[in-house]
Amino acid sequence: MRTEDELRAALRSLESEAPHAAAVLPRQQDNRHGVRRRVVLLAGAAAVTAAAVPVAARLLTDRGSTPAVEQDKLHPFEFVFTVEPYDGYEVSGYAIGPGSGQVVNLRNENASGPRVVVHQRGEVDGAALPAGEPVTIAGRPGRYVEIPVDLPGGPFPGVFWEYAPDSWAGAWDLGTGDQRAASLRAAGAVRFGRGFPMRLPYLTGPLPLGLRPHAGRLEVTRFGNATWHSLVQLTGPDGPDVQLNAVDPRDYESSGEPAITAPVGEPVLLGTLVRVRFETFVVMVGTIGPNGLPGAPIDALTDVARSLTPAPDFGDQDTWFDPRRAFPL
Amino acid sequence: MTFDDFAAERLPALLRFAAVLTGDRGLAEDVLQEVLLRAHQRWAHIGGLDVPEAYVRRMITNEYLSWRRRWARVVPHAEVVPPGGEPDHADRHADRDALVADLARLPKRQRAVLVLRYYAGLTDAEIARTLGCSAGTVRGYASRALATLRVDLAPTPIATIEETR
Repeated sequence: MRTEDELRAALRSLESEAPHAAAVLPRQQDNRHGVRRRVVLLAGAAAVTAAAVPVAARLLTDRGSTPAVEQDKLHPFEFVFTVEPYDGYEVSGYAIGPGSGQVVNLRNENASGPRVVVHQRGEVDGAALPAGEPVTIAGRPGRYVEIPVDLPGGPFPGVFWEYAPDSWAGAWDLGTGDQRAASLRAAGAVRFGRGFPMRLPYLTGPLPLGLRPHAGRLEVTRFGNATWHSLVQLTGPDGPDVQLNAVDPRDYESSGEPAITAPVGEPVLLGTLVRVRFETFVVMVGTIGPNGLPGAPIDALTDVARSLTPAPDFGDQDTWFDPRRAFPL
Repeated sequence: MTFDDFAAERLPALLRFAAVLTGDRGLAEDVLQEVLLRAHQRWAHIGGLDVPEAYVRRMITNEYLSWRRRWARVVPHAEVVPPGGEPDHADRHADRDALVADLARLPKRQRAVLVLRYYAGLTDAEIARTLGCSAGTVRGYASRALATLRVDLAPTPIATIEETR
């Protein structure tokens, strides 16, 4: 038998897993003076920020890493770049949302790899970035620096470059190897103009409460039973967030969630989430309101769940839907 | 206290808490970043609380437990054969590694209860408030988790029992 003290020691030993502070500090948003640009944290993750606005960005043509053509509006779930596989690394996840940039995570068979974040024009104040070591990424000027953050915590090494006028992207690697080489290699694999929409495993019907697509995440779950994990965040004009979480039934069961005995396609409230199972996956619909209070009413969550039309095969992204069709603007 | 002040002062402890809670550096990073983004947005409310850190720690716990993060990660685990005789330094490390591996295989809510009780030092009543359940439910989670981990409970002081009722 083990003792409680041994348990405490084991838990304390996990402190060594604590990430670097610079990897988690959020972007500071200063609304006191309207849209005041700041040096933003070039560390993206799932976007959880305020307004649901269509992304006003550039439509990029394929000229290596140099975008060229302007466009007024892209769908909120539409990426403007890809990262070509290299050295065993391939894309393991995406995240997208206003304010957090467009994020692509890479990994190889063994471990997480570099992360690339592309920010829209004007999100990063290039003039405020430190000089660093001049580098060139696909013909565009960049710098290898301790990536600046606007919160305490300290920088860590990475590369960022101005992929178009007043438009910045960053790449870095949190591994223990040569971070300069790793981040430059990742940056060099970025290809603009070969963007893609983040596909979704369902279509929705009309959304209640004025909900609109806001942010999303798609992960490759190599260590789980399933292949994919899809997260979509919707937000309404009054602030409530509604999130749709689509997972493989095996992952659903192994995570200890309550069994869904309702018929296929029939939403059911279990705990605080409305759940609906389809032939090849499960969707959980939940809500987060301001200050952590429940936001959207259960009826609205049920309406969202009931409106879903599932993709034929959750395990095959080729059968998934274009978000521009799933969430027409 | 401003959000910047809070982050500067408490971030290291929150990083450690998230790491222990999740047992996964990448997941800890994602969980904490999302929580800090939300905390920043709501700082007018959170900053006015008596103990903002407790609120943020609750946000971290709930984020970890939330349905957003339900993709399973199967941690390879090899059975460790208990060595004979007095354990030496290497044996203790192996035991700890085995215990950490067992922790990783617990259901999330059971793991969270153990982290809050044995790492964060919360009472069962405090854990119940954090998780939004009863103290009895907390004790149930803890009991099952400790049984799974084969942890022998030390005698519980009467005061602690009273506190959790």
